[in-house]
Amino acid sequence: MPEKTAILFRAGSETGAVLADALAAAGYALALVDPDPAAASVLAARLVGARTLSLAAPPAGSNVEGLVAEIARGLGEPSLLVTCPPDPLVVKSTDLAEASLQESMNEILVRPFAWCRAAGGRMLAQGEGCIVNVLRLSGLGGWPGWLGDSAAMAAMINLTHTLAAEWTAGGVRTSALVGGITPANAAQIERGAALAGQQAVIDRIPLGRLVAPEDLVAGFNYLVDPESSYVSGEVLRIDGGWDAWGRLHAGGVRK
Amino acid sequence: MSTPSLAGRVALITGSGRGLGLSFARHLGALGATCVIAEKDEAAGQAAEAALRGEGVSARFVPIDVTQCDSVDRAAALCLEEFGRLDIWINNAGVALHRASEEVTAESWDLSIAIMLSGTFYGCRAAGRIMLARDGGTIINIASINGMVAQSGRAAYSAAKAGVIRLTEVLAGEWGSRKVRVNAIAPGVILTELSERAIKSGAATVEIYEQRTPAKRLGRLEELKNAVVFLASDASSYVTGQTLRVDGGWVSDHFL
Repeated sequence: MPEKTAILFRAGSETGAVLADALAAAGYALALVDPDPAAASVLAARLVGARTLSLAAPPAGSNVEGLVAEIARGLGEPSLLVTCPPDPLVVKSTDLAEASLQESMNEILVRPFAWCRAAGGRMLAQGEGCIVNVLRLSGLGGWPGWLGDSAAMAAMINLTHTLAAEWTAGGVRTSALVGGITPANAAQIERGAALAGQQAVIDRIPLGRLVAPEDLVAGFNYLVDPESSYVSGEVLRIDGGWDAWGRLHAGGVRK
Repeated sequence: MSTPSLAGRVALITGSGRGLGLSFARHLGALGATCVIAEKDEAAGQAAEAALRGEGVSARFVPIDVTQCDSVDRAAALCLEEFGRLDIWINNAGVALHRASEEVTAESWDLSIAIMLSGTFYGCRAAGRIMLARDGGTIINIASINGMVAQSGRAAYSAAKAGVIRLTEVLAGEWGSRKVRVNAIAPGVILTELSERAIKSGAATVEIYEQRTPAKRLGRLEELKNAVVFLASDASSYVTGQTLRVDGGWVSDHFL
């Protein structure tokens, strides 16, 4: 099977690293892009045996078409783009500065869009490709204290739908992978909501546990598999039932 | 990227004498699952059983009328008696009746709701009772893009399928902590005998469907394989309450 090329935006994030491992194991050449170039380099050093290229992501508002061209020259035309989110900003809305909201929009929406446009344009020229935007559950409903994250994630969901509507006919499938609550997210929720421990978070999840890396990888594999050829615009939640549950019973679904 | 094994698992699929249901049985059977062909049309059910056995799949036809809860319970009990377990249950039986809403008869409305919404609930309940009392399991309800976006002339079908999606979410919340996962698949317009009949009846033309779909083509039966295998297997062990769309982008496009 000829080697394929994937671009991972924010590859140095926790999720980015998990997906990089899965893609390397599947034989992809990987462009590891991260605002922190050291994080991308550390990841590249760990992916022994994979062909990688580490790149520093330019700031929001930058044109990344040149970088994608560089990746195509170095590793081959990209057939897969994965964008990952930054750590969330958790702050009460009454304390949220406009600049902080703007930063959430830049980091979660504007920067991934630039990569979608640049990589998607080349994929359309090739007549095939796949984009997966990794998002958080905060984009599916209101999360007190997570306004910037929630608003920008919701925008990414409609970005995903719109690109699916525009580009599927051109052979480029675009979907979102909405990850469940990670241990880091549970700690952020615990701090933001002043909870005494994480049990309330776990009780909120019908399957009764936090998401594990292999859960995410299984969902990711489903979306990128060429046999999922009629799947586009999907918003796949790997959330243990979090979003489906209506939260009526105080104290958690498991009580 | 790696194909899961379903060896040793038992799957019951309603409405699997033909079309989508038969293809689901074929996909699961190819991965080692024993398939119970639950079908109202006995001739079609027996033919499906014979065809699958000819392909090396362990298959068994059981008669079912999903509109009758006793019949659904009997099929579930028979499955348990014969195979000693029930791991996967797919509520697939359906009917697609097209008619302007002002002309829909009470009988036609009731039939659509009975087969696709009540029948799905009876199936979930029968499977859930067994799975909750044992080692858990996975239930897959076949919804539709019409459960998410409206289509003229399909009032009962759309209402039933929307009900199936919310039913899926309710059961996911209720049963998740007891190792029973409940998910749905919402196919777009897939080329089957059912959709061909709808096209021939003049409800829409192939060209209209293709133009409406971002992928600009109808789906193929084999393109549902990944979704059903993902939800039936342990690959989706952290997925419940999800409705997977296999629609060529149909629901994403809210524009013209």
